[in-house]
Amino acid sequence: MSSSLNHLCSSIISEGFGDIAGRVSQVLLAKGHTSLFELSRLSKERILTVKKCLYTFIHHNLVTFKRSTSGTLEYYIHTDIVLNRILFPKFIFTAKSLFGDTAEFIVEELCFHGNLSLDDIVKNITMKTDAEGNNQNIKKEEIHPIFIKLVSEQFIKRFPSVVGVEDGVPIFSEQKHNLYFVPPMADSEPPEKRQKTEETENLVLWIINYDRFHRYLRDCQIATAFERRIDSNACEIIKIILRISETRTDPNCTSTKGISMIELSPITKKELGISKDILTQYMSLLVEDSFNCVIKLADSGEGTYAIDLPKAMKNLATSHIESIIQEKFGSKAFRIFKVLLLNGNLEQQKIEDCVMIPAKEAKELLYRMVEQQYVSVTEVPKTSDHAPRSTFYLFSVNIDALARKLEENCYMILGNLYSRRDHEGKKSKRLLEKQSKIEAIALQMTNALDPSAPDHAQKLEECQKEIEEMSTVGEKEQIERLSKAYSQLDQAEMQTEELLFILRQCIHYSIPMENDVKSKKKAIEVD
Amino acid sequence: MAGRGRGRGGRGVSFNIDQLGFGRGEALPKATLQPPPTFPNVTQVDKILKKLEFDLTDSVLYLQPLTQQVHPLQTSEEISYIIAVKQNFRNKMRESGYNVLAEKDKCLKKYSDKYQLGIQNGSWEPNLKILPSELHPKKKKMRKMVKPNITKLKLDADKKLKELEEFEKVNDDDDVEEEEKKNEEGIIEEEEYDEEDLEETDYNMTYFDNGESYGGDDDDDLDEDALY
Repeated sequence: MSSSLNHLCSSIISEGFGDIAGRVSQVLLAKGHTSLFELSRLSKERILTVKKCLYTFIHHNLVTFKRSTSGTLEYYIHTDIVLNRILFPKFIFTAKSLFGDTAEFIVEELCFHGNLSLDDIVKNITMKTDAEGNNQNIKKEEIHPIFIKLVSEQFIKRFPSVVGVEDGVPIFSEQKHNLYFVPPMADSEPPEKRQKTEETENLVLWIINYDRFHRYLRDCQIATAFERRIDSNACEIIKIILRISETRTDPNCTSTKGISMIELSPITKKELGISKDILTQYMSLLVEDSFNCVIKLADSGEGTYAIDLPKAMKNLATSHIESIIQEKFGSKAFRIFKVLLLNGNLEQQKIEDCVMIPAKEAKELLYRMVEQQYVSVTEVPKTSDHAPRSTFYLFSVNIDALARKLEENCYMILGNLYSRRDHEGKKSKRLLEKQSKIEAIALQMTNALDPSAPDHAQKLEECQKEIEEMSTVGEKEQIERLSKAYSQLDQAEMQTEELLFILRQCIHYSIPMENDVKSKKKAIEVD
Repeated sequence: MAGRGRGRGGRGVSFNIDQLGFGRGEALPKATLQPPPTFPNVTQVDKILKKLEFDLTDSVLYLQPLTQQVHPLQTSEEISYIIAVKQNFRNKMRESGYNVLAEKDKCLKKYSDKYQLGIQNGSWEPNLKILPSELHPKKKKMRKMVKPNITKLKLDADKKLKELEEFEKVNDDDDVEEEEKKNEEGIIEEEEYDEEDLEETDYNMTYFDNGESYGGDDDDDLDEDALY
């Protein structure tokens, strides 16, 4: 774990759970597996406070615990899950756009509380809608089917149930077959059975399935890339292919299962109004595209197509890196980069010839990129003494390494954004407190007024005037500036996080999958 | 010795300069005699500040000098909705019980505590099932409240009183009383003696300096002489 990742994670935690939790998490991140007492000693917090932090973390699935060989209980924080907290708003938005407002509420509750039973979810949502005083009260009967839909689409999964306790440590079941099974609704059962099922329903806790959300966001990225390259119809076709294959393919698989034209054409006709002829044209266009992640597997079934996910993510990451190069070093340097990308290892002389830029300028640009580690150099010595005269210097671009480098940069950027926001908040803490007080007073005043009184409108106006006079012009300006700064920081954070997501996916796929390694090993054994 | 016989001066480096891409007659870049520009580049930072409308004067600057123009951030309805969700979520988190606050010292009550509004956190109960027993909040040990068996005691007390009354009637002689008084005085005397004992152990009383240890410097001198 790098220091910038640690800094980012601890700032995410201190934003969500307070500064003390941030400090405790810093120790956890720096030390790895840590015991309770060590944590308390290193973070200089009281044991009781550290305990409070730890069970908050465990409740939000950020920390797991294990008995070490020496018998002490050790806690470990998962950076991957901490990073997911940046994506929470996106998860909530995804749920809203796919399944409507109720799903949005469900996912929001789960994001907010970490894990919840279905009963608690229903209770919280009804409480929330009641408090808001909206007319669109959501009933339990409405929530249940949408919840089941979310679970069957695997956006929500079960929290592993506790099987027993050993030595003061709860043991979690490792069953995977019923991760997405919802116990039947209590009301539909006969009353004798009801009590039993209600009990089990309460015991089952639900959490967000981060991987499924990642897969959905990944699919969105691939589809929008095609929208930019071809048009919106191509985007929709890709979305349909990915949607169909989602349920069929194993999440650990690298490429989707093949989908035949016979299957695809009725769906596209129904949803997009595209006839079969046009669809075949689109498919051939997609296959021939330089993005080449759509593969034609076979001619059977009027053509079977699949999407190569690692290639798609790598291409996406590459195009992001290219645009970074273009912005950072200019278009001439971008030409050099592109030449290196296409031709692999090249000598300096060859680069100068290929890019058609004056040798001196090309050299300068190339060296600048080498200096900032966007281009790597390999020494190929003719003799064993590595004398520069008799050594070839080959320049090349390694996308995987670059993705890792930029990932690191993204962590740093996000960490800085978090620090900045924290600082802005702390600087104008007093102002914000005053503002919230004024708002509370305003609410009280308007509530206290009797709407049936004859001079209601006049009194209301007076109240508003009074409230307005509470804050000075300078303060108002400051508040406005602050909210603008906040939204700008959030916007920057979102954009960085999008890049980070693509880079992380690219790195995720560049590591050979377990299944692949196993199958390769098997193949070797067979040979 | 290794460099002997390669001519004097002229070539400062041991390798062919052509390798670095300089032609035969080309002039080499001049040696830098100036320190590099200070970091961060202040004029660049100022430009960014004006653009972002931030007041960064009070914080340490980590900004790198930019060589290119900054692009404006993307905006769309979707993004603004997500940002609104984000800010809402953040505020909710801060006001919730998940915001870990320090345990307040219960022994020290401050006057200002009374008037501190602060964040009023909603409380939440952790699910103890998924926690190791180490983290479970300690149960307060309830002291067993044993009710005294009053009726029995009352009976006993009555009995005892009666016994004592009888006892008084039997030993109603003056001699006995006198003896008792003498005994009591003896006890008091003994106690006084004890106090004197205690005083004697006092440091000030026993400490006596006869002055023997004073002025022993001569001995030291002798010792030092013996070293020679």
